[in-house]
Amino acid sequence: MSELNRYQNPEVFEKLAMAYAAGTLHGRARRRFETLKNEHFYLEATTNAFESKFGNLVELLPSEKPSDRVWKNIESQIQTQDAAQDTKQRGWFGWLKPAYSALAASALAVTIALFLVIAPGTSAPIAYAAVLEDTQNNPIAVTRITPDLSVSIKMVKAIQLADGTVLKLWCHPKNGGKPTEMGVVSHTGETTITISPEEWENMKTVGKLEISADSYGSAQTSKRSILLKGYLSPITEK
Amino acid sequence: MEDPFAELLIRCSEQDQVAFKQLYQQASPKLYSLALRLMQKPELAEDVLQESFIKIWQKADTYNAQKGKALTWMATVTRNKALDKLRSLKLKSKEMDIQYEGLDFASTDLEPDHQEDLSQEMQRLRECLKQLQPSQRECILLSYYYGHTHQELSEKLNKPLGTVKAWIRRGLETLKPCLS
Repeated sequence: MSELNRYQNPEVFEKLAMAYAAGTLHGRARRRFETLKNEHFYLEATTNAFESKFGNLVELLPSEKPSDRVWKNIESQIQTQDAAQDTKQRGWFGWLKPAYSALAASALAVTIALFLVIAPGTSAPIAYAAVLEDTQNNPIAVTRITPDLSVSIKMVKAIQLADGTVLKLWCHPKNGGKPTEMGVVSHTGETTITISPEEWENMKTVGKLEISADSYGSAQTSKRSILLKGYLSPITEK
Repeated sequence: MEDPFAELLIRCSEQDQVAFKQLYQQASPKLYSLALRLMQKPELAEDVLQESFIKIWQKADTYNAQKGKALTWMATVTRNKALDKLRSLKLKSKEMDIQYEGLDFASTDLEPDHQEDLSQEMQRLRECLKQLQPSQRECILLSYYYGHTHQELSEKLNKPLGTVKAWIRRGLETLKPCLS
């Protein structure tokens, strides 16, 4: 079995992800796992889930006050970065200004301001990923959403489906509300669903993905049987 | 919102520096404590804390409250920064004066003084850890808080390397279904 195939086996990668998060994976094994984790989003998502569990251990630690120097350094570094960003924006504007009328320059300023409101972070996601687990928390499918407007769903294990039923992928908004149906998914292998640019933009508001088993032709409002679910993680450039 | 740190982190993602200062003031004592145990030297721990909070500020928009508490997310950022720094400095515990050690704060029966202050998630984790044998639990907690390798644990606990590895393996196997 190749190294990559080993890491695609949930039995193997879950143990490694857990050891990594608990801090018991060391040396070359840790570095090898980190390399693969950065390349394969399902490893990253599984590791994040375990890190979230073990991270609670920080609550048991006694509080220790760092020196005031630390905050001063942080504040100064952040302000320097902000100033550099402002300069960069002014530079762009200055370069464009001669080419546009005053009206066009104003419109551009509004556009930049709007962009900053919509994308406040310095690192917009370059993709999204989720590991979908069954009710026993076994990883069954991995989903990847990329800017080429594709949603790929890869079944790590095939799902047994009753006759007359079909699998559907759903997106749940982070802040609650009705889920959106994304399309029909094959019970085995890989399925690719194409989304619209607007749906890609909306991915930043999605918190959870689910795969349900529905009867053929069932209405969106009918009760769905949820087989798999998982949280969507944004992937940003390191 | 139940998690006050999560609310502050969301405001940080909107570049709110007031929220960031509040977040630092409230969360830094625990995160610094974690960095101190991993780095063993206050000046190194402060460097780690500084780098961690810069990353927290830059990556606040990637935090997803549905996937876990904000403090655990920040603890993971801090722990990974500390381990990266240890690796880059090629520091070995033998070369350092050990100032911080032991698990008194976690106590063998995992009954801290202020249980009521613990989150539900930590209480659940504590119940899972109680299922382990004391030796298994000690190895896993020392690995998490101090970043000890199997070899270092073997020397520290004066037990054969194979025994330490077996304790850790069995401990994680016991924890896995409980954590799921």
